[in-house]
Amino acid sequence: MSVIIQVPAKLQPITGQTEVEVEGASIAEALRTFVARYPDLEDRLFSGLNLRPYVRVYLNQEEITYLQGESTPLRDGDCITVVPTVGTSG
Amino acid sequence: MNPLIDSLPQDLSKEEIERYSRHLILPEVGLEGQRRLRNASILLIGAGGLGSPLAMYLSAAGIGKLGIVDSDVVDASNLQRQVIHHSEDVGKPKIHSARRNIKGINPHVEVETYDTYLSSANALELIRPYDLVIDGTDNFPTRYCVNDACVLLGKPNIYGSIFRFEGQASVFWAEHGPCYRCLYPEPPAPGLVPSCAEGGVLGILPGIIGCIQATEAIKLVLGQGDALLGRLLLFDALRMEFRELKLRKDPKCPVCGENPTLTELIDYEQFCGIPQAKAAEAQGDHITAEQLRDELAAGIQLTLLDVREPYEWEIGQLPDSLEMPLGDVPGRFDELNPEDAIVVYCRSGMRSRNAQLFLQDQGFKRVRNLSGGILDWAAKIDASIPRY
Repeated sequence: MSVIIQVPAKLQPITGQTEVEVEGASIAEALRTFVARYPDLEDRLFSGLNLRPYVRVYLNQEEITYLQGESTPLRDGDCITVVPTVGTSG
Repeated sequence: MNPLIDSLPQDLSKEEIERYSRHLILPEVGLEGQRRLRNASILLIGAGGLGSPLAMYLSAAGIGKLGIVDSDVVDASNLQRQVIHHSEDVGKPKIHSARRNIKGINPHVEVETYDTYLSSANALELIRPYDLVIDGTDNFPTRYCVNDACVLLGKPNIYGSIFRFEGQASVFWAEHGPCYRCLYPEPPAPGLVPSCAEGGVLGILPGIIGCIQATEAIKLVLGQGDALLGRLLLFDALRMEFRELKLRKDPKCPVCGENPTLTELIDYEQFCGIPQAKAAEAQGDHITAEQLRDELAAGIQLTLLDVREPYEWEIGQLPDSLEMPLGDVPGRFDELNPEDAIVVYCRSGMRSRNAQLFLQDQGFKRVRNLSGGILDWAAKIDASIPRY
């Protein structure tokens, strides 16, 4: 499945793009493909095999915890949004 | 949703009717709604990027009482976005310029200022007298403290945050939806998430996000429309796009879940790992700006490694330093000699600490971190380098 990953501002210096198209049958596959393409993301998103607790991943509008987690299957054209915590107010 | 605030019985004065006439002719506000606004009290945590538009628009709208918690003074680098503070306010407490400008916009507003840092020692006492809280803080310990205090006191907490060209906003209110901890159960490790001071922010962005927060506050007071409860609004200024994500209440949330384990405020600095990070920094080899000046003057051979981004490098740099942005270090560290004495620096010392740790892991034995970064160098040694 070909899906779009929306890249938040905090990670754009690594990807150089605001969105990235990847292939994957599940959230886990898509994220691993994403990280393989940009290895510097590994430490920002994952702690070992697990997503860091302050990184939220959404499939379309729904957080993946309320779907099937990282096993959630994907369909062509799905949009994955990575939402890292933002503590700043300017 | 029912209005948060009761309507006071006394009528508006002639001057108030003229001032608020564009509100009064809105059926959703009217005289009764305007009296609700006048009877409302709102506490703003922070008088910075978000706090500026919040204070200005909420006072113009006729909110009866605004409280402002901030212990900072105005810095020249604030003026690009913190529009409640003016050039002549640099070096003075933010709460002074905030109060002056609120009173200038609307003398009917009662302004209470608190020249303090919100913490678990004072949060409940500060928040309790107010009807709702708007979070415009710039650090994680205060965000978690504000959240927990609002949950414990049953107050709505209107959230906003900004970074570079992106912003987030939501309404957290445990009695009606999720809280901040439902979204982010744990804070990131210090230094892993850059601040606006490190990453930059479009000056207009806090205006947009702050106005969204102010809009939500007024809707809650009036009981009009659909509150941003259970929804996280994402704004991207470069795409000029708003997106919305669903937020759910976490039944296991330690503060607002079904079996809360957090029933009083905690040490939020500790929770966010701040003392541990400071201790780690103190333990690591570091060099002060004065020591570096002395070593350079003595002709000691040093490699100065600048791990800031190229656009920061353009603002100013230490003499004869090597430019290698933090993200490039893992791919370029073989340009350095592991036997050399290296001093790593960034803007304030946080990113360079991470670079130092990385290089030490690669076997570099003589890497020191410049304490306080180039900002400290500019303040103590070379005033010709701009602070940013």
